[in-house]
Amino acid sequence: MSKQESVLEVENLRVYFPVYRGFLRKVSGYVQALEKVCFTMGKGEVLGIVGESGCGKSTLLKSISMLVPPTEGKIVFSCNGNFYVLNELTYHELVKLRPFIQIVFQDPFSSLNPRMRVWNLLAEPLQLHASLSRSKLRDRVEEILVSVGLDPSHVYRFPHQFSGGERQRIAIARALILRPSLLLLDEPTSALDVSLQAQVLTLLEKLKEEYKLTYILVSHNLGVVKYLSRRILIMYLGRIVESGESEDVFFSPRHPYTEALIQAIPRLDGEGRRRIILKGEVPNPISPPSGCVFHPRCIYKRGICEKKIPQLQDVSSLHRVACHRAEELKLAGLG
Amino acid sequence: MKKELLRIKGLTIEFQGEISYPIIRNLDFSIWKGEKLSLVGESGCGKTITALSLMGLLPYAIKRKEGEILFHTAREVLPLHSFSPDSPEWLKVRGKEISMVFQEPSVSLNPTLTAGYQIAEPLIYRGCNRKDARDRALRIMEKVGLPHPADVYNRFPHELSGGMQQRVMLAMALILEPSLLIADEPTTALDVTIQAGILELIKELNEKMGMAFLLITHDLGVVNDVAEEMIVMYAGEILEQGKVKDLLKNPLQPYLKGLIASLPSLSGGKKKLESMQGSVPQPWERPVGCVFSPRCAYRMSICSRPPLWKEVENGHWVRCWLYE
Repeated sequence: MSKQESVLEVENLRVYFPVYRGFLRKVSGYVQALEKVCFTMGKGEVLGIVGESGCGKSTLLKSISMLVPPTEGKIVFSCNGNFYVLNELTYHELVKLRPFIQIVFQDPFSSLNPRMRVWNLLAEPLQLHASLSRSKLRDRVEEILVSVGLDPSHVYRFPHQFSGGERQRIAIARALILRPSLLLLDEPTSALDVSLQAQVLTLLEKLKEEYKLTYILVSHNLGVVKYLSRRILIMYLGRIVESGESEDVFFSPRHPYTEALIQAIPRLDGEGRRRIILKGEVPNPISPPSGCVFHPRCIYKRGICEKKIPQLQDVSSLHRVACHRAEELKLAGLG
Repeated sequence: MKKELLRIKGLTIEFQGEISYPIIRNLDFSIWKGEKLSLVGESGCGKTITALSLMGLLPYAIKRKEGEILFHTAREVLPLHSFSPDSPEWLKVRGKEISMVFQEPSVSLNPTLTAGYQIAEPLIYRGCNRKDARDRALRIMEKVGLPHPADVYNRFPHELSGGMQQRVMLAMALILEPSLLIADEPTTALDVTIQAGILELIKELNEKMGMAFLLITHDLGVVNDVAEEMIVMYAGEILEQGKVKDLLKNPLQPYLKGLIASLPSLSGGKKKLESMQGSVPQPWERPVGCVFSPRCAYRMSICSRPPLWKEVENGHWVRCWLYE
């Protein structure tokens, strides 16, 4: 990969949520939602983030969009040739950058205000961030509705008059109307049926070219992630355990958790494959296990796994993994 | 020789209100002893209503209009359709012969009772003493893979994770050893690695206890993993039925073809997703003729008339004018 213009750099990001206890509300511990997360994103890239519920995927998106301020670390966002460290900006500086980072939430049934018409939903961001005349406003709203595949004549309808797939299109339109450069997608299709999911995925692909977008896609559905993104991160308990080009990660995973995740997906074409059923549950993020956080559920664990925390290391170019035994293990991928 | 367990004959269920409209039309299928059957379709297709009608749990204002549901027990044939929802005759069936696992375990468990009591309740209700009920509950908890049953027995649902809650639901459904288990999207609310465990368990119970199951799902991957037979529903009608292997390899109805094509493939290179236009029609705006015709890419003029149910290959039935 040639040296690309980077859009986002996340360095050693930590997000801790305090846990209060007792009458005096003393801090008794921290939920370690994200622990030392690092990655860079080039312009026009689609980064997929995969993991089970509670692994910090959504927290990561929320802290990139500064809805949840990071406890430690840096989020560097580049825009028009300038670099901004998002978590060191003042509120007013941050508001000026908001149009460039937008987010689409999981459930279009709860992320759209049921009392606002499509017109208000879509015009509101423009009214806040750009002062446009009413006719210009109308042009922008119509243009965006057409490009997400909705009928501009439905502009005075309420969200409940649309189906789930159409509602998600409205949510996407609302995120795109300010022409962001980075779009964060938090499980954009998990509330939708299969046929609608395919419609939204093809739409996202089309829009990426049209608006020259960079996506971060969070999903637990590996098929969706594989379809849209070229590079993926696998997360477990707030940590990145594996990252790389999606072909590499899917076809030759190097982390036991990735292997288990891939083998657990029910597939149309999977016959006679080795199924690994993980024992137990995801541990409590208030007191994560010592050493490698995956070791209590790992079938390949050794003594060292309980003692030493594995660091993310290159196994080949662009493919990084945090596992002590990454070199010796032969893990099964797709196919 | 396979024995019939349940037979649904021409079942039509409608919403009765100021305007009435059918939700399920002319449903016809059988479940055989020990069968691994799956009912597939998108939301709003009538899958859950079908399941609830088998349990006599249809919501208010949704009623059976015509058709029969016959259940074969060891001794007699029970006409489930003729029981009124609160009749004591259901006691012989619900839980004992047919039991059901619902989609969202955190919602379907009673938050004020311990997990163990909820599992043992069907026994206590039927006059078993508490100690024996507890012992049997512990045994079934072990069978469904709940760790430390004696400990979990006294815990409340909110103290358990989603996967464990679903195992509690399964234990509850299985304690009277039913001959048919209806699982309505049992893993939709769970993570993939947890889902794998639950599906494996359902398969195992089927093989060891000879219990038939009807698995309701929208995930074709899940169907391929656990079921042998499948029924494809769309807008309250069955469009295709047959062996899972045949249907997934060689889908006939354009709806099933479309569903398969719209799944992002995992192995192999990147292919373009073919998405079907539109969405499932609401029951009050059901198209005339073939219910899928407004979204169908192969639509012909004849599709405005209802297509016939036809066996195209051995055991592979389809409702489509393309195969006349």
